[in-house]
Amino acid sequence: MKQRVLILTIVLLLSPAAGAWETWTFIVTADSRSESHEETLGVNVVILGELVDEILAENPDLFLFTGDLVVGNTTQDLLEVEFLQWREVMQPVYEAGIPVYIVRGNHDGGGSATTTAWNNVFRDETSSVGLDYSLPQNGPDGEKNLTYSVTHKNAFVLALDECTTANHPQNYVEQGWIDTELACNTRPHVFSFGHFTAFKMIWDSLGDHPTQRNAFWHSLEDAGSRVYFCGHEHFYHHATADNDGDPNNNIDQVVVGSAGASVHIWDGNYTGDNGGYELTDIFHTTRFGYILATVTGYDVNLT
Amino acid sequence: MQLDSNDQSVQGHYLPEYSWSYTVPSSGFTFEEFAALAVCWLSTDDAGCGDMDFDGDGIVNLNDLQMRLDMWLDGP
Repeated sequence: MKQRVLILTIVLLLSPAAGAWETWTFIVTADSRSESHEETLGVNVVILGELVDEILAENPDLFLFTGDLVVGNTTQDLLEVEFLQWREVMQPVYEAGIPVYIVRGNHDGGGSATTTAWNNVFRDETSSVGLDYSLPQNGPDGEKNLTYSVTHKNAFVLALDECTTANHPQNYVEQGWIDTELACNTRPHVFSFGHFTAFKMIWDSLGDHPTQRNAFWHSLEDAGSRVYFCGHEHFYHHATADNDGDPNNNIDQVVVGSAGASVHIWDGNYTGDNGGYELTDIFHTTRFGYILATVTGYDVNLT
Repeated sequence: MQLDSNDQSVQGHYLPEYSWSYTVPSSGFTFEEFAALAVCWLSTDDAGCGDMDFDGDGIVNLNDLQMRLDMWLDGP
């Protein structure tokens, strides 16, 4: 082993790549649903189509979508048709080979029939059409193809279905599984995404259950995470959550519900129990769009 | 309260009015980890060396060494 260490040291000293960091990107958005089943089968196809063009132009390493793909809240058969509609609009992204990581929102389901619809559409179809629409299968029991983790370069990503936990709606996330996953992570960057806000703005939120929310938030803090992406509220809003006066360990709530669902108007008040956290707003817009995250070494830039 | 969603189109991401950055601290890199990386040198994740494959490309190589050396002797 000493010989290997010596060789490594020599290689390092002679390396022309010393100091070089690879830059990579990912895109996040959410809430592409329309307002009715009749309106292009539950998807705002105009806005989502424009987003597809943007995604292809940016060519990110990953594409994350934090739920409410479709209007849903309907029968298994119609929900399946709407998921197929979403998948069809997104087809150029799948064909481009950009990994598509999605989680469900409240409109996408939560019961067994809606889960079947999801699994019937987001499945591996490599043998038939040459594309794999499935999600990673490393989630907790009962949430396979729904909740999962992804490791990419120097980042670890938690994709959280917040609609199916056994004790839902109090436990929006499977905290035991999250703790285990985070304990095994060695990457410096930890990102997580789910549909609901952690700090309540307008609609239902992890913040409706502050004890469980705080356990989730503390687990992210302990893992060195700095950002939680979500949707549910139909706008873009970035706020930082601080509970100790040290901005270097804050986790920011980045709401990216800006993929086509009718825009919500927020009155500027966090209406839930923030559990000792003080929220400071950083940016708000009701424009449709997406967040582009650029990762270089230990640095992350959101635009 | 909702606005009509059909009166606007996607305008890309939110530059120039929005750009926000942060840096995560390095977790430190000890000589023991350096030795562990040496044991895994040019091995794949399948060989049980995933923890040393810091850039996630499936193999422990110079890129992983470089990432960890940037943390050299940093505190936890």
